Amino acid sequence: MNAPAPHHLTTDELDAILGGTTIERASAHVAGCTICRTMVDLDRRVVDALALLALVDPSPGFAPRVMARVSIHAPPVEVTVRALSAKRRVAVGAVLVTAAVTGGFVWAASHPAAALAWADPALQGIGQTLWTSLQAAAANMFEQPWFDGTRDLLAAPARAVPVLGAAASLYAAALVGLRRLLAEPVPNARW
Amino acid sequence: MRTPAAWVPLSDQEVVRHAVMGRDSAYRELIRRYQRPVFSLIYRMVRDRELAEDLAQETFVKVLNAIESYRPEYKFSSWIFKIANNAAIDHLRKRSLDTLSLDGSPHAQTADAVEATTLQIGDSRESALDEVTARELGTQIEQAIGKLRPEYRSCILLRHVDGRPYEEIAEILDLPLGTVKTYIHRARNELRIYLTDTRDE
Repeated sequence: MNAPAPHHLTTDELDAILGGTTIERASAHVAGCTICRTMVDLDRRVVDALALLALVDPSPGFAPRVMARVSIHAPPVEVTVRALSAKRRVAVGAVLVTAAVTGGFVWAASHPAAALAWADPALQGIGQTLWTSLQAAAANMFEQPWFDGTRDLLAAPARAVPVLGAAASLYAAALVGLRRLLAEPVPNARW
Repeated sequence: MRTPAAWVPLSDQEVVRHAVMGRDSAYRELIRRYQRPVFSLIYRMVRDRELAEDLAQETFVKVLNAIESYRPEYKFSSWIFKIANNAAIDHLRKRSLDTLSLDGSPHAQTADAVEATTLQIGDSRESALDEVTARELGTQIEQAIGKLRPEYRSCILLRHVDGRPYEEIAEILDLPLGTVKTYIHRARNELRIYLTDTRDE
């Protein structure tokens, strides 16, 4: 006769034993209970037999047959990839330029003497060049025959002031008129 | 384009993401990963190779054509097994199958076809005697599985042949966890009784 078995194995305990987990109470019970030991042995035999069942392959043409019936809705992958690449290039360029400019400012702030020593001749040269270019352009324009009237007008400020005043007034009136026009509600506007 | 080996390290969810982007090879990879387990499950449920091929094909077509509706918070395996199991159960409800095609499909016309359609038992035995014993046991267990209720059959196959955890089986079969445990326990009981009876005969 077996030792008294207060509780036979629960299903969870049986699962645990079959899964290889050791539960002290369950193991102790199984050791002394013939019924549960037999059940564990038989269940283990069943589980082992099930585990031996091999997976079965479908016939060789299975995948192509499935693929022939599948509709692949491809989004415009190429366009997306290109767009992403273009954006990435712009972003990388912007980052590099920003980094270079910021780095330049930081360097100049930390080395003011060297920065000025380098910048002064360069700035002077650039300023000189720009001023000479501007003078040349202005002189060239005013030398043209169709600027005779303008030259005459600027030569006599008494005549230039009312003309410029009239032009400024006309411009201001045009601005006011345009603003009022834009403030009007437009029926069925579709912008 | 990725080579088949390049897909191996990717999770199912990642492969699905490539499939949603329209990559043909991602679809093929999903088929490659699941054709054996899905086909095996359906085959052991309906016990007819040609029918199992049709149902497995329907399963894959349904899953792959709806790949955009896949929700990555769920396991892909649960989704495809759910559809496969439903296909098999629906079929079994429409038609009861009594004959077990352990010796090959009844539609097989040649010896090669019979061999090809015969259910395979694991062949990792060391000796010929072990192999024969294992084959006999495998044959008995296949027959026993065929006698189970379809719900028990799904549970026991997913648990002890595919090695799916209880939680996933509950998700696949849309059943409470407790019910899944009960079904598996009852299925094992029935298999145990069947095997004991067979051994005693």
